[in-house]
Amino acid sequence: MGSLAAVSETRGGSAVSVVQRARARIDEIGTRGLAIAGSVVLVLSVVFIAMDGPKLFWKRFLDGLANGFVYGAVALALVLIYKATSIINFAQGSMAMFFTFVSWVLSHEQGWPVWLSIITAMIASALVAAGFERVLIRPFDPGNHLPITIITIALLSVIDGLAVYIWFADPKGYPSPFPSTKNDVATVFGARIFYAQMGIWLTVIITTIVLSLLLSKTKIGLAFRAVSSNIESSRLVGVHVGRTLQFGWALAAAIGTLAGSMFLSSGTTQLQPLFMGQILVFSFAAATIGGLDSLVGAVVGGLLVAQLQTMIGGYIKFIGSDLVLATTLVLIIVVLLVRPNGLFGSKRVERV
Amino acid sequence: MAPRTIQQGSSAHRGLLAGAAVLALAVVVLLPFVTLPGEKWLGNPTGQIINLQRLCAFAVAILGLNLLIGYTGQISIGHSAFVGLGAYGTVLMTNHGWSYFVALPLSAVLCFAVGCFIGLPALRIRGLYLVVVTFALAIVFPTLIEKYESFTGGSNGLKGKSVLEPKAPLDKIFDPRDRIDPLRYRYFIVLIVAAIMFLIARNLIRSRAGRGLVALRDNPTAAVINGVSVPVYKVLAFGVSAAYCGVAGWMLMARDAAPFASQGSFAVDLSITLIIGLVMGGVATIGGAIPGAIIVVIVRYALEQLTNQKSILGINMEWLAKRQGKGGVVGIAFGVLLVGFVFVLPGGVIDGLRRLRARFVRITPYPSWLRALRSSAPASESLPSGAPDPVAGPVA
Repeated sequence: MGSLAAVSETRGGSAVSVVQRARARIDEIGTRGLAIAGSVVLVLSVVFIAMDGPKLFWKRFLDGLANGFVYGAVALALVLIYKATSIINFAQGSMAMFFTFVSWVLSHEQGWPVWLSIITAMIASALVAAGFERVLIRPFDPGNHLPITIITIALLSVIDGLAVYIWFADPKGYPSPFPSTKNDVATVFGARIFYAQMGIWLTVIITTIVLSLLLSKTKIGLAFRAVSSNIESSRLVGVHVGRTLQFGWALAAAIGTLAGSMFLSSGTTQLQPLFMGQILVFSFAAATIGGLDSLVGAVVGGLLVAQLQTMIGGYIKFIGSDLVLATTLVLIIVVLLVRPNGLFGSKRVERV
Repeated sequence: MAPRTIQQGSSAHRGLLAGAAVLALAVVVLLPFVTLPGEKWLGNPTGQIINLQRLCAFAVAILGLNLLIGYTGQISIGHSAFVGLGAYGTVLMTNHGWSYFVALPLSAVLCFAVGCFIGLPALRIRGLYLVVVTFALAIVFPTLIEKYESFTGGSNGLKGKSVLEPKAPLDKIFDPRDRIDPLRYRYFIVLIVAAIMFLIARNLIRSRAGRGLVALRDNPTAAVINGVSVPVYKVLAFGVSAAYCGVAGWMLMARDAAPFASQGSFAVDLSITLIIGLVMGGVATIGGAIPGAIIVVIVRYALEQLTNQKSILGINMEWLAKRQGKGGVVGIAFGVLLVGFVFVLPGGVIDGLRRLRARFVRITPYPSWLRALRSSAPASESLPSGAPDPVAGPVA
């Protein structure tokens, strides 16, 4: 569409071309996706508020928010890998789980401050992921997806096995980096929010901002965007593709680790080797609904999926808590049927 | 040693094929009657036959998945749901009083229909988005089973009331006292079903439909131009592979002395196990499903047994057998093995065997069109210049 607009502009810039150009620009930043998501959310919200009143709705909304940010963060990590390597990293959840365990060991067994141990675990996970990329991913042709996908499945198996071997399967309490006693509660418009929940929102928002700054303002960020857009061209202009992809993997692993420890920080779930499983499913869904190659889409998708999860579970009685997952996933398939590249994803144009 | 060269279709080649077939037949028929040494890691005599039965079921499931992943290039991690559907369908049908042999085609048809339905989004959703859809399927199936508890038994699992056993009609011909024992009977039933499924797959791939699928995978545009209908083929591929997994589910129930379907055994792990077997056996091969199934059933079982041993080859392994988290060892070993395969033997065991054979016997192709050409006209005139004479010897 962009090129079309450009062509008509050179012909003299009629009113039509201005509209086309505006539309092209809107599509570029994904506003259309946002508009679709927004209108669906709006309609559903009105229905739900009409059902049980605004107060309960507000409470449920806040409940879903913390989960949404965690899903968004893991989806961010998935999207980073997808942009770098064009695959879905099945080991993302396991890596996050493993290094969340590492941070637990540091803070719980070694007595480090919680924040310091989380950051150390993030750095460690970034280094390990960079190593994985160098040893296991780089030898393969980036265009050949099957072996790389299989490698991530193998990694999933190894890391899960390792975690079970080292830490066993019984759940462990995770120390929260936020004030998390019963009294650390704020009341906003009649609904209670734990400080820990707000801490999670803030952390993920800050991470997203830092990440977008990193990608838009730094040299390596520019290189990353170049590589994710076109590997061959960026190689031609002198970008070290391997190292840039490595950067993407390291970044994704660090964000995943942060998301894992954030999820446990709310105190509703305990640490055990399978705790990332369900988060990963919802994050897959979030990344997909947002369009696999859009960072904005990942976070919006995460929030959307978490709201769907809470609202469906809360409002639609015959679905109840058992089928929340199923219904959410079916809705996602519906979204994909309407927009096969997600809400914010870029269209793939195939050349004959 | 220079490899011996055999021409395709020659008597030596036919002899080789026949010999291999007879050997394979002898192995699969005799295996349940011999107890392999090494009960420590292969299991007791009954356990060994049970593993053989499961091996057949997994081979069919892997084959079905290969029809989709290998031959059409659509990745699915949702096929555990189809195995589960086949298994639950079988138990429900047999509990209803129907015979296992009625349940077999019915569960295949059921899975085929559901598979086609699930395959419909595949027309519009592609690549990794499709992976997520199939992933959703794998996640949703167990929750559906739990939701409709009154029907499926929920998280307690579903117990089968009837067991597949040798029946009376044979007694008119044979003395009932000679009746084969149920365990081996079930093995042979499962084996025959597996053999039929392999035969169907082989013929399917060699047919017009199979070539269409491969064309669609390798170059969709060219395939469409040559008249391959994308929607029909994609949906049918999904349906057929689902039907295979349904049959595998039937086999898992039919082989069991106490049929029991539980939703936990048809979760995503099963899909991942199938993919592991698929890759290790050989992507886009029919025969690869067998070594793949051997790895995910027998080797896995052996690994699990090994973690319980106090000493292996004189090495003290008590520290492992005592450890609470020893269950993780199998996962680690399988992951490492998988990485090793992707790096060293990306074509899987089948490719390795093929290369091994090529060191001893080399088979030069002699296609039927060439044979027709040579029988109708003198070779030197009809062959294009520069083309090798296949009879004179190999070029490669």
